[in-house]
Amino acid sequence: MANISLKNICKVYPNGFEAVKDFNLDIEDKEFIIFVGPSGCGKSTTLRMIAGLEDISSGELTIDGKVMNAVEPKDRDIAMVFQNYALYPHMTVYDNMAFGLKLRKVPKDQIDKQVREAAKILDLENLLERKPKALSGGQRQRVAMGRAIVRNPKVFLMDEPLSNLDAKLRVQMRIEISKLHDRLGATIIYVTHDQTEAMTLGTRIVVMKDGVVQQIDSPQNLYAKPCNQFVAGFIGSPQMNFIDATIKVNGSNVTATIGDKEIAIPASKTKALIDGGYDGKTVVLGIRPEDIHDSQMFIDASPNTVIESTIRVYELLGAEVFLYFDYAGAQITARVDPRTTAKTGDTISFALDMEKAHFFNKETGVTITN
Amino acid sequence: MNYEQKRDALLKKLYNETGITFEITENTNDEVQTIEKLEQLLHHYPSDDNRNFFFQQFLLGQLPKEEIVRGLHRFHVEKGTPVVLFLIAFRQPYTKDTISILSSMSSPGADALIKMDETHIAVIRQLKAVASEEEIYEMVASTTDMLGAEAMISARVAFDHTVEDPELLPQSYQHAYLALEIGSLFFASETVLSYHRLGLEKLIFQLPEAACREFLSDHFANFDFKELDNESRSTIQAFLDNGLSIAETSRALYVHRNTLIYRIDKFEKQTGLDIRKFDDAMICKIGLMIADSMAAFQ
Repeated sequence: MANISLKNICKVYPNGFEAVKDFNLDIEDKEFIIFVGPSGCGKSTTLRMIAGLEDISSGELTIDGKVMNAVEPKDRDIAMVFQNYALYPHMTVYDNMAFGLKLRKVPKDQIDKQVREAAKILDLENLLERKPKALSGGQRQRVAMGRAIVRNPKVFLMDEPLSNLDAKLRVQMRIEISKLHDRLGATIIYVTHDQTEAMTLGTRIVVMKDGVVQQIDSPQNLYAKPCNQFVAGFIGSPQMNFIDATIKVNGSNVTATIGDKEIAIPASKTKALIDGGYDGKTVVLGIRPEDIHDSQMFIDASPNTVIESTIRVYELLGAEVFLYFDYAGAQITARVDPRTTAKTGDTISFALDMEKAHFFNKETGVTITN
Repeated sequence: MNYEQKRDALLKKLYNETGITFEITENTNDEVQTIEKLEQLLHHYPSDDNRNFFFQQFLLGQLPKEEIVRGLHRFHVEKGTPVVLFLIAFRQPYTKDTISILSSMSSPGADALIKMDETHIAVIRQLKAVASEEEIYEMVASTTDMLGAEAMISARVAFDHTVEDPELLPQSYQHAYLALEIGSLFFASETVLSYHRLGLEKLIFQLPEAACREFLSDHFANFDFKELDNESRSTIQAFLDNGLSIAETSRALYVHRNTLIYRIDKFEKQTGLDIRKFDDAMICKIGLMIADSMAAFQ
């Protein structure tokens, strides 16, 4: 069992820089929580504070109801996996996994039992006598994980554990970690800057920026209902398109003018714009690449949302095509069907799926409506 | 073994262990007592402590040239072998476990672990070939990560580049020590610091306080960097890091270019500095660094 609670956690460095600001989060037992955000957002610092490797400047950290602020890192029953995993070069896989337990003076027979159990979980049973140089990158990473697993901790903290692996191995290990979470039934807190990793692994994701939590939500909600422009832009690849739009309210009809085109806004989104007093104001319209269509069927079905532009770049990725074009001063990406006939230099029409559009306050970046 | 053989063997062993040449004076005539004295001396100079003492004094620049040459040879650090030094600073005094982990990480005989004081260990690692800064960074980062993963030990490490003349190691030690000090002011959240990545930071660290204050009052008379919120600060930092490019910075920060321009304009209103211009950007960067270092000192 491991319920973790972070209340008003702050980290202030001696130069006055606030790396983490008023961080609040309750983590349930067996949750797979992801901290994600750009470099320097405070995600690793938060993880290190949970581990005890960094002091907490203010706030309270509890694990299973016990305040941990002053508890020594080694006494917190936490295991950590880092990005720069190294193995002891002259020890076998078995000894590499056993080393930490030996330091903790765990009896020999218990060490043996725990190492063999972890090896079984990680599918390393046949490699226990091998030295690190005889292992592949993925196997080495599994041994590094094994060192954490043998300790049977309450909580696993993982700080960008896959960042040093190549793209193919990263995908493979991502699946392994997900399976591992199911098998171990442990609480995992995982830090990454890679939003794909975050979306595929986490049961809940904490998006951070400038030391401040932006949104804590499920992957689906972060994608569909971002709370601000930063989250909308950070989650999703290619990222959401943002275009300045001027709102015009005419009775119950609301339109958004982008460039020289007036686009109809569906009824489901008008209330928030009317109630927020955005008539005549400029807001930011956000639309994901997959919600911009070039097929005639979409264009015919929604003539009030059609814009026209010249394709700057055509990029075929096999299962999809990215079309890049400029509109109203913004660089736009559309993700379309690979059967499209559009090519670089063509001037074509695109229909915006306004049911999926998002509107953000231009000054604060806060979501007006999703 | 007769007295002479026994005496000579002990004298040789003593030299190997301590690096000191002992001589038996003429008026020493009690053979049993001489052997006992030599054995006592050996007992009181355990090789590990002796090795540590030599390297410690060597790195601190407290040994004469001939002792350095003799000691490096005795401890198998040969001229022409590429060596790198990194200095580990622990948040709390290190323990036996720390030493066990560090010793297990290297090839036997390749590393010398030198206990500088109760919270600092210098590692001299002999390499097969000259390593690039990136390679050393990886090597050092895996050391801190290993300490954290294996025993939840918090440490920061600074390093210098590879040297092929081990007599230059005291300079590497000074560089690493300085990098730790400067790093604690400017890169407080970083656990790995390279001396050669310190540029302006090193310069500002060496500036007298009066000059720093004068700079701030000349350029930021009506502005205090403490008033800068996290968002504005990270925006300015990202803009400087991205070569004053609006497009690159807005991509890095995941914000619309107009939002970025709005924030830059806001900073201009506060300070009178238009950081889109190189000169103003430089003043801003230096001001920010001075303010950071002064806050940390306080």
